[in-house]
Amino acid sequence: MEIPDGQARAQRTPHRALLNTLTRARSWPWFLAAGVLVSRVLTTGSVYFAD
Amino acid sequence: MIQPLGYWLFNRTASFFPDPARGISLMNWGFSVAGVIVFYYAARALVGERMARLGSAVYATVFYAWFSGDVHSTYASQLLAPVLVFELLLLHLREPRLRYLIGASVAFGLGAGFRPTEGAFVGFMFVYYLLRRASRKHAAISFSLAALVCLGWLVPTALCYRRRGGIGQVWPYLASVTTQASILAHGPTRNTIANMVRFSVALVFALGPLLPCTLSTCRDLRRPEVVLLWLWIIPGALFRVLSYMSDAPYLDFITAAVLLLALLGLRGSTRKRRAVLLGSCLAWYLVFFLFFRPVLVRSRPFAVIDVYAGR
Repeated sequence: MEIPDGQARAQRTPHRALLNTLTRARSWPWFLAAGVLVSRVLTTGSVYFAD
Repeated sequence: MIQPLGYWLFNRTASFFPDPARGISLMNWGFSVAGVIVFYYAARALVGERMARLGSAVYATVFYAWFSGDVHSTYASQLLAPVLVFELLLLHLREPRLRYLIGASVAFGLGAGFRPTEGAFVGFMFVYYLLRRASRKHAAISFSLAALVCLGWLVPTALCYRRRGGIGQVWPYLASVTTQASILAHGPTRNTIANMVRFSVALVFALGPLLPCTLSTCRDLRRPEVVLLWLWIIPGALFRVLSYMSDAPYLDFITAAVLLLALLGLRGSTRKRRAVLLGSCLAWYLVFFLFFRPVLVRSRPFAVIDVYAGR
């Protein structure tokens, strides 16, 4: 059976499928949210009660 | 004791958590995440998908905004509340339904409650929109609701002060804080000029390449979105420049507006120019996070960048 072009490319480069998922319009806000949350959680360390 | 104007709403919300310090962290993480997502949707409505993605990536990584999302303070609330008010007004502009204005009223009231010293200035944009764009009935409902939400934190704050020696003590403190570094009160002294430098250094350090694009939107004031964004920026920024600003996270409340205007200003540019300008900001933040360290030097310009931009 012949594999369609796009599918064949995705099979050759599995990370491409992940990249496509991440950059789809609907998944971008989730990607952003996860990135911001992880970055803030990882860098929270100082106990600094500012005004 | 709550420092005037009072952060009663912020502290009271944190007190609902078993560990209030952890609660403040959770709140700030939440404000940061939600602020970036709302920014993305606002940008997408104004400039389309591709630029909204790049713009939201920049908004997510502005160094002082990142810093304010992981310290125990109220700054991060201003990464969400003003842009949420704007997004809801934008939705109402395109589809005039009352529910959007109700949402904007609540967002404004809470944003002003979490950090009154900046959140209250969003009121100029909010009130302008209600007077110019909303029907009388919608405007009346929104005014009343916003006032009610504001009373919800103003009254308990006043009661706290009454218990601790009277609300009269607030005014001398406020007068002192707002005039001690004010060029309006003292003229051009070293202290008052330093205050203005603090504002400019942090803004240029973070968003310098994009500022000409932001300013270029002044030619497009016929668009209601552009007017709203400038009304969001100017009153609070003027207050900070002309009265008092101690460090970079004070800019949180105008960052989304400056960036949204920059994206609007970039719309006519080539794809390459957009990528270079937004990409250079992202690359700069990366360099900043990886390599910035406060250094002890005698040079005054370096010390200024160290203290004001790097905090």
